[in-house]
Amino acid sequence: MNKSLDPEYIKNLAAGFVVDDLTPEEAQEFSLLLDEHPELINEVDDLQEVLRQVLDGFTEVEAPAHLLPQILEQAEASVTQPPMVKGSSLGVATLKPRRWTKVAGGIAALFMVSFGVDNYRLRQNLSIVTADNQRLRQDVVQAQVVKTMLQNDETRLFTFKGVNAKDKSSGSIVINPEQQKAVMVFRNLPAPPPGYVYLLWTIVKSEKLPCGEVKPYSWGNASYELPFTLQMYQEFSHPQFSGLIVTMETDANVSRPTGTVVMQSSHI
Amino acid sequence: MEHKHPQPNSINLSSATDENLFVALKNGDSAALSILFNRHGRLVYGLALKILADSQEAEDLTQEIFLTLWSKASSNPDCRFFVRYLVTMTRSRAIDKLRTRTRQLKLVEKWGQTMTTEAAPELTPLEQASFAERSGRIHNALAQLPEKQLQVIELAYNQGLSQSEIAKQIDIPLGTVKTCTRQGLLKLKRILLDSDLSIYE
Repeated sequence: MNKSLDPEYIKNLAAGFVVDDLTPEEAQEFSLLLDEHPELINEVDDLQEVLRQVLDGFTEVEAPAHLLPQILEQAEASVTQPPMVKGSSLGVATLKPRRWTKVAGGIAALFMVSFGVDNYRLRQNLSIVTADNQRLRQDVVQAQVVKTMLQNDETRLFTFKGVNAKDKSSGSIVINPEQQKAVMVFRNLPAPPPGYVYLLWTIVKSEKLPCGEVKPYSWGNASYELPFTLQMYQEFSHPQFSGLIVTMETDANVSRPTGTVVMQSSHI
Repeated sequence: MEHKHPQPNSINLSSATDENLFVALKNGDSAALSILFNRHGRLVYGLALKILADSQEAEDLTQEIFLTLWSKASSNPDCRFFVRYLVTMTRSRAIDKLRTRTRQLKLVEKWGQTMTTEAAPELTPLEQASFAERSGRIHNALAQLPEKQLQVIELAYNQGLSQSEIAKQIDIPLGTVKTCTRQGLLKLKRILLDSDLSIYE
């Protein structure tokens, strides 16, 4: 019997997945199994529930009541302010000072410990700032790419909007088949639900042709350079090209749309 | 990304699954964060406290975990199995912090210093009763496991040891620790979930 199809072996992998001790090879194998056998999700859900109950049985304390207001305050602050500046590892303040109350003397060593803690936090803050900078840099690069494309008379613009009246998502694709560059800019596009992806399709001769997954580095308002193939660029220039749609699919590799249309081009 | 305020969606979200709450979180809804904390804050804080044995550090880590969920939600690829994700993240970060602290303590000791561990906060009578009930059920289930499986699960989730520390402490190969943990969890599933089903029979 194929080892991968042995129920006991699969259960063992599922348990390893839940306790996070799979080897990289096992993790890859289990990921494929999950894709091929969605019924395994129930097994993982059950094992996860067992782990939760075990931890619940071991846990003698409640989370302090003041934690939630602090977390929400910091979460809200992180929306309106750049996320580092203050003291904690996530760049927001209000964590109470550590109770180093019982250190028995030795000011020099205390300085060294404090320095170590500060250094650790500074390194964590630095990684967050670096990630934010990277995101900003990506935005600037995308803006420059779009600007350069718009200066070229071969560039074409396609606009999108959500198909549902309540849906406020909208966007555009700026494409230059000569330069082989295409950028999708969108607004209010929510993240797809877990297990779903957004796929882009061109409509040529009433056929819907796959143009890849819409997978930006963040959701909401963002821009995204589309990794089109030469064939895809050619489809945009086809005389019978008639539009674009974005669908929500469970399988990123479907050859024709099977899911819901979430956005469609509003103007050619 | 446009972030929403907690009030408008709270009623609908309170009955949402963790998976749906995580999607709401990705879309910047802080009400989802609040509900996820109410559901899982105890688990994260309790596990952090087990490993770190310091209430202030456990609080800091709990905040860090939930704020990471918030700030990184849109770039987080998959939280399909949310409890697993929280437990893995909490254990891994707590063990990292413990290692950092151990390095610092060694530095202190080098200078001839000592630190005392903070006592755990006292439970209210209601919390004690609730804990006794949950704890009794889990300990009954654990008692049905073979000795090694019981040991590794207890050391991993009640004492917060990493798998390599467990291997060292009970002197068995790392591979055996993994096997015992997985088999122990599978057996606990049969015991705990079967006993749940038997209530309805």
